[in-house]
Amino acid sequence: MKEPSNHAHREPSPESAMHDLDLVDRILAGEARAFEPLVRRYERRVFRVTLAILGNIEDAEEAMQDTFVKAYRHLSQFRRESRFTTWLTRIAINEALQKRQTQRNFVPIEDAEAAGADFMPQRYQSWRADPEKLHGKQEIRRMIEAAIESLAPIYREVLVLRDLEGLTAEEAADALGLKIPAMKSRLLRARLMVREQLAGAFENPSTLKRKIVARAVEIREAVATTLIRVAGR
Amino acid sequence: MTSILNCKEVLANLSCYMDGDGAPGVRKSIEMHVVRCRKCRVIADTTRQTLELVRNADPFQVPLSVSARLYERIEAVLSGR
Ligand SMILES: [Zn+2]
Repeated sequence: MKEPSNHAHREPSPESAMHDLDLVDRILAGEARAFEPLVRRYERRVFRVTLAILGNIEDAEEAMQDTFVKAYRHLSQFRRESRFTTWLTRIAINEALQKRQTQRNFVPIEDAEAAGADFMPQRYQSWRADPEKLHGKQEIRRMIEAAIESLAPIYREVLVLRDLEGLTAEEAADALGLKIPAMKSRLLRARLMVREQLAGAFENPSTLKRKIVARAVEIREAVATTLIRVAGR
Repeated sequence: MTSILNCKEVLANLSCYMDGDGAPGVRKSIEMHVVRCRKCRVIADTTRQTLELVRNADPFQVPLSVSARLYERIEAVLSGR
């Protein structure tokens, strides 16, 4: 039987429109194929999470595969108090963290923490309002990826979980085994570090006038400091 | 009541401020500081711009080959191989 090719009456393909929990029900009822749409739906999220934690595609790929296999095999342990994505993301984070323990080149967390703890912004120039007009979308994506990749894993992971995957502060802290204030302080540094990386490409061009004003302020401050010193003698 | 925050304190609370967290008094102090301090205003604005760019860029696509191997593995598991 042929369907009339009228787009207005075409239903969305039932599988893709199905709610996560309905798919879970079907899988648990023995319909293994119902797992496929869940993989398609969340491969991106799981990949981003494992890549953020592990820092290279090979390890991220392995952790991603293991995440989905584990989720499938342990699906009956999924409690419906949380969303399916929350549960799946949690598995992905655990898989990646476990795998990271075995990475030989992993910088110990204390060292990475210490290296970022006193990070201060260096660039104080405002940015152009329309960076997308200056750089193409692809180019901006590459710049963002490079900036995030350059972060130490402990900063990269909080940024990806919070700012890309939209986990709440509690979810992110809990999954990474951190107290909320510690997670927040890492997130702040992560955001500032990415900002610093992008600044070169997005800052307003410094005009001669702006340079003169900045120089004048410096001179005034220097003179004031000298006067105070002289007065203090 | 609002207390006066210095630049370092504003920076320390900036991330929370952007996420809509923080006590109302602290939020108010940050706003008052940023109006008067150019450096902190630039940091606040450009950090906000950074987050917008990060979200809009939709970074880190799954490479096609990685995706293909994932489906292969899942296919094998689902069919009990
Ligand atoms: Zn300030």
